[in-house]
Amino acid sequence: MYKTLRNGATYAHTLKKHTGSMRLISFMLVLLINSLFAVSGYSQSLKTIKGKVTDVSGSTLTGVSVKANGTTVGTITGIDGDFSLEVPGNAKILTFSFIGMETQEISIGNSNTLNVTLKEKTINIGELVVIGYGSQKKSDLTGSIAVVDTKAVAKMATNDVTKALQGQVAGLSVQGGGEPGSVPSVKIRGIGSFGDSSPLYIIDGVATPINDYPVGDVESIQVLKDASAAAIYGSRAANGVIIITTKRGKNGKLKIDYNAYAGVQNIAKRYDVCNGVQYQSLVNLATTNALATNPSYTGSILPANNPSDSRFSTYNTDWQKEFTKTGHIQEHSVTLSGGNEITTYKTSLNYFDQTGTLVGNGPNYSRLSLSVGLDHKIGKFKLGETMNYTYVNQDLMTFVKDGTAISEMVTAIPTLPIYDSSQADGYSASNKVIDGSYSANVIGMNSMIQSNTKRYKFFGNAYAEYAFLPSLKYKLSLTYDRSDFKDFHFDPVHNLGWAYINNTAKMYDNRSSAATGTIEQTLTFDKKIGDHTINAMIGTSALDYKYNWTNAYAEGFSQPYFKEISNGTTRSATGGENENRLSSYFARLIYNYQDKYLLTASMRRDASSRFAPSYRWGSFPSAALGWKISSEEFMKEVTFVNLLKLRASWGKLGNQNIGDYMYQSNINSYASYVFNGTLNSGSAQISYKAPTIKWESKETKNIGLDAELLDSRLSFTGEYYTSKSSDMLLVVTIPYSNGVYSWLAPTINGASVRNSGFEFSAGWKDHIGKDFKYGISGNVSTLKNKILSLGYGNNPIYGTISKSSVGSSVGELYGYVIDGIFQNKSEITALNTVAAAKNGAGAVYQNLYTSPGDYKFKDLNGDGVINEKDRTSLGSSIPTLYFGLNLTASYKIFDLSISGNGSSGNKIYNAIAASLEYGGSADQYSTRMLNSWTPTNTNTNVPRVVMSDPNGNSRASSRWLEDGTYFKISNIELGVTVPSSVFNKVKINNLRFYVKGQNVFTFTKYTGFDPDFGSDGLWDRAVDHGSYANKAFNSFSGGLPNPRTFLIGAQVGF
Amino acid sequence: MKTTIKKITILGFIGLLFSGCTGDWLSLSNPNQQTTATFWKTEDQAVSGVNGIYQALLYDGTFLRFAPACLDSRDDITWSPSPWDAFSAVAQFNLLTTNYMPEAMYVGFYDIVKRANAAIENLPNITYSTHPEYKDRLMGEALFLRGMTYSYIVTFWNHVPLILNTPHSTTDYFNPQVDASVVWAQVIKDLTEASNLLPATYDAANLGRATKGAALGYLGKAYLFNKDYTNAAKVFKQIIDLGVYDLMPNYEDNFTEAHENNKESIFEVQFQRMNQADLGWVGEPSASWDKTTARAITYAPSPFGWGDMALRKWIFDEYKIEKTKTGAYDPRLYATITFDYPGCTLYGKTFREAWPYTGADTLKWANMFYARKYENVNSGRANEFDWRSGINERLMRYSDILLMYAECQMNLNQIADAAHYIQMVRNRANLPDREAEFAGYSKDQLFEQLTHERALEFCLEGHRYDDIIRWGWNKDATKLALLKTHDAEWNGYIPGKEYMPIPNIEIQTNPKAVQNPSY
Repeated sequence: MYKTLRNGATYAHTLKKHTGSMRLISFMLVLLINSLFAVSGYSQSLKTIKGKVTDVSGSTLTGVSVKANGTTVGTITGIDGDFSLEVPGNAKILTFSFIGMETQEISIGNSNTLNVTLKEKTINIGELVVIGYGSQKKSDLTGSIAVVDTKAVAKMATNDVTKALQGQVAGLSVQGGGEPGSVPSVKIRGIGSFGDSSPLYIIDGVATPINDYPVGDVESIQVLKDASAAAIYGSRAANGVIIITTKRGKNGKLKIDYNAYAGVQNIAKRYDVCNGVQYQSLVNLATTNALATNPSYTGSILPANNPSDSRFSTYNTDWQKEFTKTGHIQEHSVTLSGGNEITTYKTSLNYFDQTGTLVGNGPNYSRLSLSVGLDHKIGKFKLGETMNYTYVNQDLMTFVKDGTAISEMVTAIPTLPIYDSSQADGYSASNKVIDGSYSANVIGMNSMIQSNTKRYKFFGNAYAEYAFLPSLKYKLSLTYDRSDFKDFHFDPVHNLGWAYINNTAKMYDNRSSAATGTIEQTLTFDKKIGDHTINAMIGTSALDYKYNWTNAYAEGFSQPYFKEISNGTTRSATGGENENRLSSYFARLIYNYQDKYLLTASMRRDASSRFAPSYRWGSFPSAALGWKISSEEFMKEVTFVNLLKLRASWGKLGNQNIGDYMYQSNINSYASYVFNGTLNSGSAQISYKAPTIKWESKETKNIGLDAELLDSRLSFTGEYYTSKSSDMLLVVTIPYSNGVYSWLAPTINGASVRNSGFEFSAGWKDHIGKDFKYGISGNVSTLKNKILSLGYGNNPIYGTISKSSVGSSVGELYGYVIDGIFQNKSEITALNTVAAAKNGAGAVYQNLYTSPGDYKFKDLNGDGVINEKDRTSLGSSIPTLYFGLNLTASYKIFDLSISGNGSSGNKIYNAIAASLEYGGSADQYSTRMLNSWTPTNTNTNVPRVVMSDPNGNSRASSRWLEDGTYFKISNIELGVTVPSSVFNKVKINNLRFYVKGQNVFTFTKYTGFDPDFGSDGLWDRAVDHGSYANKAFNSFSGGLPNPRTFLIGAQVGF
Repeated sequence: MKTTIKKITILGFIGLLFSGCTGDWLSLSNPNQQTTATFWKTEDQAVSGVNGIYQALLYDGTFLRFAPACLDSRDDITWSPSPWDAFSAVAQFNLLTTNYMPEAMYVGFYDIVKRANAAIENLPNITYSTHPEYKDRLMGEALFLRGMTYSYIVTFWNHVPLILNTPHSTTDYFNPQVDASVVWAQVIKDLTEASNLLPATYDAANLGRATKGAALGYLGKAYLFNKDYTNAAKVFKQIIDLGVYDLMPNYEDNFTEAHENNKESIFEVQFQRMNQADLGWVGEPSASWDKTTARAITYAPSPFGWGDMALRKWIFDEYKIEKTKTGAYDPRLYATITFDYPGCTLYGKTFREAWPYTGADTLKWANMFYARKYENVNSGRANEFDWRSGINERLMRYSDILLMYAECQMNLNQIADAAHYIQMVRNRANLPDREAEFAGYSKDQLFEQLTHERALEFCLEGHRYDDIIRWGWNKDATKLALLKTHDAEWNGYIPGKEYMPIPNIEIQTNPKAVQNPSY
């Protein structure tokens, strides 16, 4: 049986008999399994070839793979670079390959000795770049495709590949906090969609989420930025595409690699907050100020702050010090790879573990992943499969309030101790009457409440490729991608502050699973005919996504707690499911004339189940032209130019990243009501839908210049793009008089946005002498975002402190303008007189109880009163300039690399500072407030403190907007490669140790934790709570700033 | 031969390649819920759709929390020691238009309108073959709920859009405000129709549904608020003559779970603890939503609840003005206010165990007045921190009908008749019979007595603030000064602030919306 199968020619005969695609699939699976056992053997006359392998500098190379082509015979070079290989008599060519070197094929001819010099591999113009459904020489690209330096990416110690991409690619912005397991927000060339605007990730040809993927498994990363490059993924490519290929096995002996690092992490920054005495004096001042100036205020000095009260507090807790701790990070990976002419394999096992920087149950993130990849080549068939299994265990920060634990930590009052033995749970609790503060015991909260999520992810892909002709190939790819989630939350009986009391132990056990099945087929024609090189491809794709969930809830657990649903005294459950489908057809032509003139054209048609039948289809065409000037005759003399290429592209991309069934109005059948103690079924249409919604589209134009000069030591790419997103899908709040909550308003094709920008990247790579090698690369990009149309009739969209309107950028900051501090009563009276004259008796300029020491806001519309009409634009929340820098150097056994990145042009609303400087409550204060206005401290820009803040000094104004510019050294790494002579007795191929620091320095004027923070990503992107909550359970967890990390690591290869 | 096979194979594959998926494979509909296209077809759906309107009463912005809190905290009885400005700012007449409370209330009340409009539009198309009696009843319920809701909307905001249809195009989302009199006219129209359609009573299974009496009650109130005493009196008398209502002998039975939907109840919002995971504050209802109110935890004093509300001393003194026939204090005092007296217990503790002050702090006891009405003080619970209370919110009681009728009669100079109904309510509190004395009062004297009676009878029931505004006390310098004496929060009042601000979100999304004066 398998002898026949090993003969590729018989496959076609077998296939002919099968007509249905299902039978074809099952046949191929049988084939795959059989091929695993396929072993080839030859028996012929032998010949011994000897030789030595060296590098350009003449140093011998150990561990170089030497193989006779067309056979399975091979060896590796010894310590002195020597090899000796018995080859069959008919062997003609030897292949020499070594990591980091260019592979060479040498004809054996009649010689018995071959001395070979291997050149170091450089990212050169001949390199193949993976594009959608194929690959292309980098020098032939016509679209905007950035090839990421994976060496730099692999240096980042992180749970998420995209975090490592920060600063590596012009036009790619990565923003996110440092909570273990956090997923940063990634955007290519600005905000192209209002829904989920993250790019499409294609891993080994399959669309699948990138999170929870080991960074070390990545072989290459390509970022498709313009429509021409991405249009082949039309339907989901509006936000760009990131194509990742993972490491596969290579023909050769078993290779074992072990990489590991371990390190410590800390939150580097602190807010300056008051100590107990300072805090009490400010709260008391706020109270007396209110009593003196606001007759409607009826509070009094709080007992905890009143020295003459028995409940006066003398505590001075530094919550920032007590709640933070040193976190740990470690990663280990073992990779086994190798193979023969028919089958190559790679198996890797990866363990990643990160504990957060806060005391208590979370956040922690650990991940165990196993990946197996096999490729087989049998005659005209190529087959392969990939299977990944990942287990993620994540403890979340356990916070039961909107906002984040980190901001609650900063604003916790110093006059409370951490522990209180008189409390049943042992933690102190703020008291409304005594402390008057909402302060939560964050340490108790994070220690008592548990939130955990477990993810079990399976990814399986099998492909089969058959070459009908050398130029015509068919490929079938089947993928099944499934994640199972188990979310656990346990809230024991506790009192952690008067607003944070839980009387009955509650438990949530939420299970869900998401599965994506994909079938893709392509037929590719690839041939050079004279001066014409043609690559044409057609294909289809069908995708089905299903999600279902079951949420169980129980309460009334008795102590000691057995945290299983059955142990609750009352239990309930809810559940549901969603599904969506996509069907696509696509075609592409890549044409090259004389290696000078390049053309790429593509077309994709997609149908989505998310739209009504008559709006289901979208068409996404693209075209691009390239002119390789360096290939022209007149350039032949210009020898310092290796590549000079001008390219231009146009294309249209689509987006349907909205919820399922958004075009169908539904009846909610949970609107039940109780009559006489019995639940009666109730129904209502709660949300409105727009049945005519259709594909969002994005039209992109791109022009670029690529150059490589001076033996490709210098490389440069410059680009300009402009894109226009139309019919953007978004939820636009309809007036509340419709009785529809903002988040339940219809999704409509309601906006149009333009993004444009320049992108430059350049690199220089050289060596001085034979021992010192260095490289420098950097990128700069600009981003200009402008809204062209919006909402219903261009009605602006408002966020907490933003207004997005036609002509502005998305999420443009918006608020009141401060016009100084009132120094005396007569200033206020004068303005109130004008207000009453213009608006009638009783009208006041700001507030009835505005007093000296309060902010005076600018009356921008001149109507004599301050109201929402007096707000104005206060700057951009989107950085307008992004930059990244990589430096590498090596000297003999030492290597050094430094990466940095940053952005500028945006403002950040420091929400933590805003709560610390509110001045109207008994919550914690910033030390800055010690300089607040008083009749004896008038020369200040800090307004008075006053309970309830009647004047609204804390309203959204320019007060807490800060310059968001920063540049941070994200990574510094120093490595040493142990010379092979040290371990010549052991079977070690390479051994390297390194130390590194991450986020060591951040150059910024921003006073918050970190200008690189996670935000809500759209309208209120500028609001910094110390990083946005990672909400696995709605508002039960919070974000953390990026930690400063120091670690050591080792890489060893056997 | 070989090339022919090859060609056939290639063509076969190309065919296979394009036999992709289309048509039905892409037609997916929501497996969790039915679409609007299949609703409002059957009798059962009609009942379910009308029940769905009632559910809108159980929202944060409606009667789950903010509507009672907003009504009470603005009056001169209740004040808010809350550090959260949703409560303290509304009590001090210092609401910003961006405050969460008016926003949640506005969308919450219009959600009731939205659901009622859908029912009123669709109910006439349904054939009631099994239950012909549903035809009138369901339409009556929907009209009642819309009319009642608009009466709240217009008293809260005054200048509001009057929306009577479901939107049929996006332009229907943007509605201009109309004069308050236009809204009141619609309230009267809806409630008049409802009163003609609704039954006076229900069987046990349907207790809690809107009755003829409920529709008449809100209709009379609408006339009263517009000072149409003749029509108001006529309607209130109609309720009295229905003969289905009477006062509960024990005043306190109106505010506990034990005696819900009793003979004194004109209309109440039905709350019930169903042991579900979520309180159900806002948005799309879920199967995990409980049917409880957060009123109890909101009003309960710290450390038994959030303590967002407390009572002023004057009302405590007001209760003590007149003793019962047996020389005791008014029983309504004990049912309404938690204060320091021997035998005062709450949540299993005595007053002084609850606040175990020592030394000079014990002086505070004499000035602590907290909400007791609608609190689960005797439920066996240790506090209100499970957030859920199952006590029905009595929106209108028969004693209110009696006192509103008395007020109408008084204004129509039927002083003796007015005195009769005032005393009727006093009798339940075991207060001395002063009917004859009141009958000899002038209209102004009787009015003063009536304001006293209403304050005591309806303390913490949300009527006091509406009374203050309809009596015009905010525009009367003497009365305004009195209010400020009662409750310092009134020092924050400036003309115009008797109405809530149109929430900023409405102003920002509706180009036709105009903000209320003084905001």
